Amino acid sequence: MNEDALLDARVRRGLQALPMPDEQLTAAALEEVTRGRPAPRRPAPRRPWHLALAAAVVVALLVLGPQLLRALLTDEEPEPAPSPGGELRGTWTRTLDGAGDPAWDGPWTIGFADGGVLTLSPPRALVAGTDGAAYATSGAQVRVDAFVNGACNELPPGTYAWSRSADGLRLTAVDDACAPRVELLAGTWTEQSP
Amino acid sequence: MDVLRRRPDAEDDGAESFAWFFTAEYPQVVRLLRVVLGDPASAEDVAQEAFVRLHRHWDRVVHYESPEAWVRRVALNQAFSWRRREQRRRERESRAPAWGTAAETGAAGAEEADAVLRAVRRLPARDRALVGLYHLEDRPLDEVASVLGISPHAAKVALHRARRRLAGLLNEEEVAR
Repeated sequence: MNEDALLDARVRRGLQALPMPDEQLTAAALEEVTRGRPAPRRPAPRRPWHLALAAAVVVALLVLGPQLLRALLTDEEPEPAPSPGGELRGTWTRTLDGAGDPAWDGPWTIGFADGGVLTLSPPRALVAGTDGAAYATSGAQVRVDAFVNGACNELPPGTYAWSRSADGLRLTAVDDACAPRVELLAGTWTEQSP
Repeated sequence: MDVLRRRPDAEDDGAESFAWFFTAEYPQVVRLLRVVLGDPASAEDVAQEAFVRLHRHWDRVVHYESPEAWVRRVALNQAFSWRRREQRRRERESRAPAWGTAAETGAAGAEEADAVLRAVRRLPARDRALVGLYHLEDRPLDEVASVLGISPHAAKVALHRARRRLAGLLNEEEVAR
C-alpha cells in the first residue's frame, strides 16, 4: 500500500467514525422540512381531456406571443430584460482576491448590454463557463444567471441590489445560493474606460 | 438512484419518494456538512435548508440522473456562505447537541477519529468538502468534481494538495498528543 493509500484509509476510517443523526432525528427533520410547505406536485394524470387542454394552452401561448410564453414557463430563468437603465449598462471591472477557488482570483470584467446580455471575462488562469449569461432588472435589483453551466450548476439565478456611486457600481447579494457567484459579484465594480 | 429503486410502490405520489430519499440521504448529508462546518447544529441547519429547497423542486429534481449530487451541491454552496449566519449558528450551538464527536459516542478508535477530524477542520472549506465527498462518502473523483462545480483535473490536483496538507497536519496532531 503506498503512502497516499495509507493516508486515504486513515482519513476514511476517521471520518466514517463520525456519528449521523439517528432515525428519530431524521424523522423529526423530515417533518420540519415538509411542514408548512406545499406537498410535491403529483404528475398530471394522462387523460385525453388533459392532452386537449394542454394543446389549447400551447396554441394560446403561441398566439399571445413569445414574451408571455416565456413569462409563464420560466419559473427561475431571468425575465426578459427591459432596456437597461443607463446607470447599469456598461462595462465594469473588479479584481477578486482571496476567492474560495484561487483560480478565480484576478481581474474580472462584467458587461451589462442591451437585450439582457451579460458578459463576464474571467482572469487568464480561469476558463469559466461564462458564455451566454443573461440578466434582468427590476427597479434597483438585477437577476443574473451567470455560471449556470459551471460553478452554479442546477442553482437558480442570483438576485442582487445595484446602485451607482462615485466609486462605481455597487452590487449587493439579495438572494443567491451560489457562493462563488456571490464572492465574485458582490462588491464594487469600477467603470471601464471607454 | 438506489433509494427510489427500493421504493415499495410502483405508484409514486411525490411525497413518498421524497420521504424515502430524505430518510436515506439526510443523515449522510448532515455528516458531510459536519466535516465542512465543524459542528452538528450548523450541519443540521444547512442540511435542512438544502432539503427544503429540494422539496420545493422535487417533482423536477427527482428526474435528474443524480438527485444525490444535486442536494449535495446545494448544501455545500449554502455551507460555504454560512459565515454570514454565524450568529444564528452560535445560538443553536448553545443548545446541547443531539449527537456528538466520535469520542462522545465511544466509537472504536475515537481518539484517532477525532484527530483526523481536527486535521480536516484545519483545511480550507472547499478542501473539507472535497475530502468529505471523496473519503467520507467514497464518491468517484468525477462525481466529486461535478458536485463542487470544478473540472475532474482540478479536483485531482486539489485532492493531491489536500492529501499533502492533511499528512502534515496529522503529523502535527501526533506530535501534540
